[in-house]
Amino acid sequence: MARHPSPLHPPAAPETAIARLLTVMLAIGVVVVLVSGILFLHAEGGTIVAYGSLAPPEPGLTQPAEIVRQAIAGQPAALLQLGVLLLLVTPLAREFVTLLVMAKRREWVFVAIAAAVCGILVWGLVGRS
Amino acid sequence: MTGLGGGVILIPLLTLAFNVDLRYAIGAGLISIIAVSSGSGAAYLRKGLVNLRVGMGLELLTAIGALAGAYLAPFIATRWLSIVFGTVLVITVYLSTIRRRESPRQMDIPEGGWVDRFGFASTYHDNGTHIPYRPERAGLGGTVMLGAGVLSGLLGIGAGAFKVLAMDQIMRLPFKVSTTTSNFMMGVTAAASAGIYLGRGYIDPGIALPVFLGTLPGALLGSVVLARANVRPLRVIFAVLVVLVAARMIWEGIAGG
Repeated sequence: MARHPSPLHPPAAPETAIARLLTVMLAIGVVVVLVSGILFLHAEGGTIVAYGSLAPPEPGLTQPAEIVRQAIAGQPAALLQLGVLLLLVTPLAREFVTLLVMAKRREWVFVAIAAAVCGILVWGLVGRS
Repeated sequence: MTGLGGGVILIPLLTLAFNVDLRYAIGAGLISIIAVSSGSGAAYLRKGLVNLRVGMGLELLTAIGALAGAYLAPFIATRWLSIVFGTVLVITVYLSTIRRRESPRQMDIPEGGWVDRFGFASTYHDNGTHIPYRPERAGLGGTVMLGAGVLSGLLGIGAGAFKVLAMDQIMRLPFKVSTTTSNFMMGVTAAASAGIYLGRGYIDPGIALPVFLGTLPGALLGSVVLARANVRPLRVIFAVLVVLVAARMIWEGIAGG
């Protein structure tokens, strides 16, 4: 029977669990970007956008909750942004797993460090920019 | 593995060749860093080269720096960002071309103290042998890391050359451990500021898509090819190229106003 170890129940080496999580998250991100990329090019491939100057940001593409909502609604640009968002939360997920691994090993200093890093990453994502 | 990351090439390429606004280019740079770091970080972790504890400790500093850099960015005019970028490029090339000490690190640091309390000392495998090592001068190394984080958040680069400087030259970690740990930390550093760039609308899917598609296979291919290839002539060509690009970025900053 094939084993499917969950990153939440790490094996002896924490590095292995974290490495596995990174690979899986990255693979999901790549698939989402590829699929939504095709949809995006199909829908908006004909339009030429001037990136030479800053455009006012589209509200639907800047807030994580809004990106997810519009992506579910099938908006191609939001779907693509969802792939980007997945990529962006990969380090956060990695840090969270590290936190769990360190908690299991009772290395509280590193649990605190990981928690602080998680806090900074979440702040960056949802905090006021 | 040339020691120079993708950001230093990607961002000038987008701004100079494709005439993309520097801020969009920085957003795209951050995304590509996360992709590359997640991809190669996994491989290095499995090989046991990354020092997880040192990486975590320093990560906190680079993440704080990156957040500060990202908040600072809107207050700096694009032309000044361009000049800073060019200057950082030149320093990066200098850092990655200087000769490194190849001699084994001395192990005369007394046992005990913070290094052992936090388990920072470790060993790594090289050619089948266990090589023990102990970090030194964490305070100075950490300060450089904080600075590397600020540069990363400000310019959308990984600032890998500065991270390696802190770990390899200041903290005296083995070079392989320094580069792989730097790569491992890169994702968290970039993600800290990327969230803010996303909120500002500087991360545009129309730019992220081609960047993403190009960077990922390129990085995977690069790590395979460069592991075998003779990198020396490649590094020289690359260094000259980056210096030319840096000069152009600085010039754009001075001339464009």
